[in-house]
Amino acid sequence: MTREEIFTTLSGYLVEMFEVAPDSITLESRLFEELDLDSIDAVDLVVRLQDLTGKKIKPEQFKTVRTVADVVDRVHDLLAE
Amino acid sequence: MWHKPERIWRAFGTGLFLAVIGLGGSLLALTVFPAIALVTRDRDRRQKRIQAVLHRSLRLYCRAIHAFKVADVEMKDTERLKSLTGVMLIANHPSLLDVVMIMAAIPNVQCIVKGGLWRNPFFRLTVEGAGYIRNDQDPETLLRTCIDTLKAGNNLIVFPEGTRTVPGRPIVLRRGFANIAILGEADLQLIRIECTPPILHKGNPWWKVPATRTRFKMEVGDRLDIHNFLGYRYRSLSARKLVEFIEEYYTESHSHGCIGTGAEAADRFVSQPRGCVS
Repeated sequence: MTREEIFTTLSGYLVEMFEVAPDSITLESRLFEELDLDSIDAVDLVVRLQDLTGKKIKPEQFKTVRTVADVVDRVHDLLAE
Repeated sequence: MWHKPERIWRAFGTGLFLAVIGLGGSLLALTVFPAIALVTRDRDRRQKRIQAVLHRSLRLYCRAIHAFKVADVEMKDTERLKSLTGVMLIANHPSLLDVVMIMAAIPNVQCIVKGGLWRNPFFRLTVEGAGYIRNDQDPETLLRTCIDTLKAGNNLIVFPEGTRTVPGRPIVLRRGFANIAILGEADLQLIRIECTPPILHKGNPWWKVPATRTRFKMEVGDRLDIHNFLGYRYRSLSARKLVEFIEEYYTESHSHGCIGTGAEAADRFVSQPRGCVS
């Protein structure tokens, strides 16, 4: 998957799972402050991304995630492993 | 401004009752609670006993405020609260007396309190002894602790606004309470508290009492079946719908001054998930 494809898939998840308005999602959007996710949402998102990548994601790997771009990077790294 | 003796009495009384809760709390923490802790080794029984003492003391406290005419304290339909188990008590948060009134009305109740209280050894004895939940844990642990206490049959007070309401501002809720209710599958008992004219609200010193005597009114609303909100595909959606519903409920009862249509409104809300409660 390219970064663009990951971004599109991730945007889809955000809209579907967390009722985020599609046009508010950019790479720079901050998940917690701007897109109104909470920490329990983040756990659910990690589970969903595990299904996508087929890899086990350790919570530590996502602890420092702040923006949409951070998530795209982590997923990209995971897929490259 | 200060020419009315009645008003001076209320200002004095407000200060006095604030002092009473501080001193009374410390006194219990120094005498009764250590005594209970000493003779009750079993943790659950100890919690129940400490909670029972707090319940009775606060009931007396509310009656005294009313009797001394510092404020009117009115609690309606609280009989219904006595038989609740494993239910979340949801209330708006206009005043400092809110948690006091709820605890005065219902014996087996838990709440989430400031972690800072654990630093003071006497407060620690009280809050830990009563089994209260500290708020400075990481969110997942806090969520788990709340669900565990509900599953154990305790009722849990949560003020979804997170902090006291500023009079005149719109009600904005945080989502933590909804996550607890959805994941713990706990029903919600809605409570509405009115405090008019406002007293002891944020940014207002205790001695600035309003021109007329404040009336604290606690009304017990409907019990909300959590299953009405579990039908969504994702937990995150259920939690958002629940937040939306409660936000409307308190905003509506705020403007119309009515309460008690919780269950019906929940039905309407769920049958038309995208719409709003009219």
